[in-house]
Amino acid sequence: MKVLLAGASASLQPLCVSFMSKGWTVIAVHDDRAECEFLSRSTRALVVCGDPSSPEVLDDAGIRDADAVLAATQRDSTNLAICQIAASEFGVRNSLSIINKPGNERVFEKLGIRCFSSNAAIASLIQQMADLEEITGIGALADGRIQLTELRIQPDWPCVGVPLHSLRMPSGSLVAAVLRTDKAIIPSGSTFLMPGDRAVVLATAASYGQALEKLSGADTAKA
Amino acid sequence: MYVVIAGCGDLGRRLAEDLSRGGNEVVVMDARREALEMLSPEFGGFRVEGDAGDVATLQQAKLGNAQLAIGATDDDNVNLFFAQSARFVFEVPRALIRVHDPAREEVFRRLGAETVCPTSTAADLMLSLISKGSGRGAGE
Repeated sequence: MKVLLAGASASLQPLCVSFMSKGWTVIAVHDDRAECEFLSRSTRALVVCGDPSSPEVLDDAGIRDADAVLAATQRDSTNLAICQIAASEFGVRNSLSIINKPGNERVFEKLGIRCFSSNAAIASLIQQMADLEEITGIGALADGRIQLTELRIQPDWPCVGVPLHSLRMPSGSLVAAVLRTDKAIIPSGSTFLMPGDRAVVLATAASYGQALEKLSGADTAKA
Repeated sequence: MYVVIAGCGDLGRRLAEDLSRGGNEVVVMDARREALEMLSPEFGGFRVEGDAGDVATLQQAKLGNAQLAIGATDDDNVNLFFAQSARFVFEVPRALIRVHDPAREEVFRRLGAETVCPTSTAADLMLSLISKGSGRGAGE
């Protein structure tokens, strides 16, 4: 399944990661060059730089092949244009919009566009992050090709109590350090993770999502 | 006629003043107070300070009472949002919008909006003047 994410000003990275972890192919269209460069470095999305409400830009980005479009700019009027263009010009069946100004849902609903308020979305995102007890991006190395992330290990995660060598971390990823209470451990194959540990994970952009999944179970990387 | 105009730039202001002078009841909205202050002192209609891309502003302008909605903001997408809200939510019989981008104008028209594109209009006019060959050096 292929989704086109349309953004402006705010970062699309969390959404990209979220869709990709579910196995979607992602096209990200964003109007800011710096954000586009960041997305190309840190995700495997196909990134297109341009006005996401321009029919030409959407066409060039390959919207015709998309199974779904998510309009996630911070202007409801821009989101409406994106969804209407996607449906009428390019025949995209599923278009979905974020609503920024409460009350504007009425317009989208009247036009048959599914939408949800960004307040609700942010609340659920925060909830997911809280469930994960924070995945903290420490930073990116090698021009974004390597991600450095800190995870707080949860009691119900499948990695708990399993020696790292049996865990079979995806290639291109590594548990580089473990912080347990006030001890810093550089793990060996026989080290295992315990609830409450903070694990520092080093991964290439390509295996980042899989590495998070491996440690925390299938539903991670949403945040 | 009760007319609601979104955008008080050069076009919105001109239409507001003319329609108001012509005896219509006119409401102009713009997010920029300075723009509303540019209206001539003779303008007899109402001013609403707010974003035309927000249904709350449209309610404040009593869009539901309008017979005509005119989208004249500088943002094509806001004008589309305004027209679609006017027609489908507030049941205004007619909505006219300005669309700067010619490519977008065609698309918006296919979405059922009544559009005017200054670029296309000016280009058509100029081409027809050129083809008439009036004036020295034109065409020949």
